[in-house]
Amino acid sequence: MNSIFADPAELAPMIVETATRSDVGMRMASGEWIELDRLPLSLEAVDGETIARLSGTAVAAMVTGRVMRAAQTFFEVPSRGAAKAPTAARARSATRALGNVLERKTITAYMDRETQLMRILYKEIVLRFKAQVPAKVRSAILRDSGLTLLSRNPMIPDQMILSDTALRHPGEELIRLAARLCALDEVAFAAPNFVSQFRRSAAASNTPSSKQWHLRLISAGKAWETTRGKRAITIAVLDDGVDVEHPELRGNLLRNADQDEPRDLIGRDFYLPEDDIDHFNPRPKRFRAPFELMSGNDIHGTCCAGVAVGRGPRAYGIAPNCRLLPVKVFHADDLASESQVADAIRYAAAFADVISCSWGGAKSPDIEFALQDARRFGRKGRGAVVVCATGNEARNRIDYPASDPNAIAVGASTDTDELADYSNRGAQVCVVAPSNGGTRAIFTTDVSTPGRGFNTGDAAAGGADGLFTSDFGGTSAATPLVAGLCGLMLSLKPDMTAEDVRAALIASAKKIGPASAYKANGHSNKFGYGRIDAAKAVAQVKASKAKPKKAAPNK
Amino acid sequence: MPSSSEHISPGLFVVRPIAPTIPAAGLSRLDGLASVEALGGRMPGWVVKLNKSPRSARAGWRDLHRLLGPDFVVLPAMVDADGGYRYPTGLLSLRFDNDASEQKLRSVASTYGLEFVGRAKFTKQQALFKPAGGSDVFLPDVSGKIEDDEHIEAVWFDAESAYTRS
Repeated sequence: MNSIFADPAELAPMIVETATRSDVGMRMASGEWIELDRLPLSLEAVDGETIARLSGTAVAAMVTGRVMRAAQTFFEVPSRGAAKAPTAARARSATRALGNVLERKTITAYMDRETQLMRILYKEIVLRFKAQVPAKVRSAILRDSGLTLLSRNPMIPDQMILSDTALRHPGEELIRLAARLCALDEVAFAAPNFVSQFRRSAAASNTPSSKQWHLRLISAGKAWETTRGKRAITIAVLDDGVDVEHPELRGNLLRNADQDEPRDLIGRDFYLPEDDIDHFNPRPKRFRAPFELMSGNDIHGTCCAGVAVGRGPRAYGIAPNCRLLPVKVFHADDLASESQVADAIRYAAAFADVISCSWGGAKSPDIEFALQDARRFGRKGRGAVVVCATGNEARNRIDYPASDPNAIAVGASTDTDELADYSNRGAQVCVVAPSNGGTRAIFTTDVSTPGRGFNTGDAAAGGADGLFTSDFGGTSAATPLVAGLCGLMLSLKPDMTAEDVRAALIASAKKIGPASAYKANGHSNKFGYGRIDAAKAVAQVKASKAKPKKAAPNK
Repeated sequence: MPSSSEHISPGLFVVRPIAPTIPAAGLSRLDGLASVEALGGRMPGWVVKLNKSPRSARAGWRDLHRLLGPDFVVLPAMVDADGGYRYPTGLLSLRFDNDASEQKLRSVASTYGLEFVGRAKFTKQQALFKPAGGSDVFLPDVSGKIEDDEHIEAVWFDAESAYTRS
């Protein structure tokens, strides 16, 4: 693939198919279907500049100058000056200057519906033969394709770039040719060598919208100037299921976490036994009218996941570039087996760095041991960071497992930095994080299935498409916010132990509420050590010196 | 060892069929003697509260076992220190000091009259067992004996419980 900004995470082999409908999509090696929308685009050389023309102004902004420079090079549009992105004003002036167009080329371009990034079809196909295919057969396939062998991949001898030098397969015909090649038994994969736009992970232009006041309150934008999280850091959300098809979550899924288990592609459902076909499907499954109520519906985990790792742009999580491991443990309000919840914690600790638990239940020896195991064996002995909700009963006792010494207990504060009146209090409260209870609630991802979720399709409740809710809250919302912040810190210093992360949260927390609420040691049963401050936490971790690695304890 | 401070509820029991095919109609023998409510979990089961409080959990278990016969396992419900109920599944979880060998698991099963059910999925230190004696066994009797075994770190009733999404 011709990359403009190289991002290895995006370079997985893909198979491109023409769909039966008019649009086009790509089948990733993992099986995921990526939808591509046709993007009418032409390149014109106008008085020494290369101008992109797009049919809709809404998409014009995505064509950066850098993309245009690359496209100009690939498509050999003459230019004596630097290419510029087509701002609306420039497009208008170009229209006026049509008489001065030196050359015009129509380009087949697509917008990746999920990432909103552009992919321009170029005259090349990347093809990889299966290892055992004889040279004669390879030659015959290449000859029949009508393509020219341009180069072989120096690292993967079976992989090569083929060029449609004679332009016998213009536009989408090249996609169809790639699909036909891909269908051959001898071919491992074949895909057009798109000129693709990549989003640099450090891009700081995306800031939380005013709807996401909670991110502004904890200075997430400033923290994002340092890091928006790394793909190597994974946050597991143990809950009632996560909508893995959600457009602002699916791109962050950790795929095939347990590489010894080929069925483990997108997380697990521990409510169901391993011999159930749906054990490897962590999607929400229980829905019962009324569908917008949590009682009877698996609609809680999707909201929690968005608060931690939503990719945006409509609902950012605090760690939008970290990975998500969905782990379903509950079936709406049904009783759940403690051994399966404990299994889920151990599973998450084996494959994730941070575990977010927005729930509470009866004390269980199994869960207690699982938390010990997560601390001892998670992250190669550095300890998985387990973050738990204190509960919403407004009482002087916090929920279990938040009360466990191996957990970070999170209470809820409001948009005015007061304690949410429902947030449980106790000596084990570590920090609080913004949630509802003041004048505003939390805007986050919601179940994308039409008619399901906290927002079943009301514009005022988060959007008419029902993909988001503006009414999430409780210590449930505060918990993944802290879990995501832990993910940001670990993205900067992956060698931090779970105890280091806890210490950094405490040291960077902002004291809110009356000073009298805090004891001499800085702790308050209401606020813990204070309200999280993402910018301060990240800055503090960034400034800290790396610690020598701890040896993993023997099992 | 976990510091769970929980106790057996003297008046609240869980009744589970020894096989999923056992009809719930058998519970009609409790009509007028106890309230019966279905447990809302994946495993079939009911919460039973005797109308007349028994002298002890063992006495209540004995009465219910006599009434329901061998098709149903009667188990005492557990209450944690904060008043949260745990509803036993009928299995015992054992945690060993170190990773348990197959031989160790067989030996434990034989010593305590247990049947090996399976290892915990993500730790080799834990395994699940059930009493080989079926419904005739008062589960706390078995766990009480195992607690004294110095090679076993902990034993507890595997249970279902209610979780609140907060």
